Amino acid sequence: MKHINRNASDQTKSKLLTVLKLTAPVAMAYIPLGIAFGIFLVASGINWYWAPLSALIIFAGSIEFLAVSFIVSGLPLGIVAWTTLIVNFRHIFYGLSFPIAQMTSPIQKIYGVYALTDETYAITSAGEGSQLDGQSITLLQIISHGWWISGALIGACIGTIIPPEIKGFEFALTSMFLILAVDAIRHSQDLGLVFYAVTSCIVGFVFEVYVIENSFLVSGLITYLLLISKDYKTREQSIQS
Amino acid sequence: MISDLNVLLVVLIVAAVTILLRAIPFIIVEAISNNQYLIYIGSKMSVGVMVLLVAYTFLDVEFTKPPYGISQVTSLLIAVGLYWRLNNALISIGISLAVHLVIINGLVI
Repeated sequence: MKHINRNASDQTKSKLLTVLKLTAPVAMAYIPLGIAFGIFLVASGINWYWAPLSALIIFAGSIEFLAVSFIVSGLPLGIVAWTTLIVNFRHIFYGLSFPIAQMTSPIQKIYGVYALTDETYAITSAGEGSQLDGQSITLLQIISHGWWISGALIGACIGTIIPPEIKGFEFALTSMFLILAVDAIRHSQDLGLVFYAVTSCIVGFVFEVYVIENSFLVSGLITYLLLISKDYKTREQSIQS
Repeated sequence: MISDLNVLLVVLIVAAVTILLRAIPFIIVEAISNNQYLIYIGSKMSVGVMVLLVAYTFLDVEFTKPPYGISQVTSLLIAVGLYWRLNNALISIGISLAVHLVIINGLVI
């Protein structure tokens, strides 16, 4: 009996070790980014405890930075919901390859879906991570979530000691989206999409300035959706004919 | 200080929509995995979303008044340049943010 117990605990240990190794790159990204998020949140005039709390409740990277700027600009809640829907739209595809059948308890399944981030998706869909069992995936998600919350908490603490006269921390948001944009453009290999994106920015700007305040993202995203949908239609017609 | 209720509402809405998106495929797997249009949109979406978000962060920059957004534009170019060469997101974000903080707070110029 003792022997079996020790075997089981050894197995758990080696599982933990494998998972910790897999989350190392996640930690290296989450902790500095979490710190930047915490500082940005406090510098925006929000109470410090919202940094770890929002990291706990939302657990998604870029949209959390964006949530801070929504709060600061007092964006109407309907627009917050719609913008989140479009910005996080990619998540709708992550579930298709997520090995939920490997998870046994309902709580494990619910948390699995709740914490299905870009990183969890990337790790479990390729390489060594695709071999993980249900328990290890849950462990992977909890540890990653922990890195993210710790980063945000550290950032919030740093934020409270930075003098409020120092401005400009919102630029972290600009450079983060910029890097994601560079990645997306490189990945798509399609300059037409860049042209559509710039067009959408111009339309969004015109709406924001001349039509209705706070409409930049909504009108810009609708314009972009229409432009790529137009391409889809013409592509479909050319396939059919 | 911004009121806690305001923050809570935005955080809950963002969380609810994000969780909904993550849960949808488990409820309607067939409808999504066979829908060519959704897959097409999904693959083309991110360029537009990210470019729009970069532009969104520039909405509050005043280009018509001194210092004419010089700091933002300079730091943006530094961020692109660094990322293009080194491919390291954290170095690029860290250095460009540092440059912007130094210029905007008048620590150098």
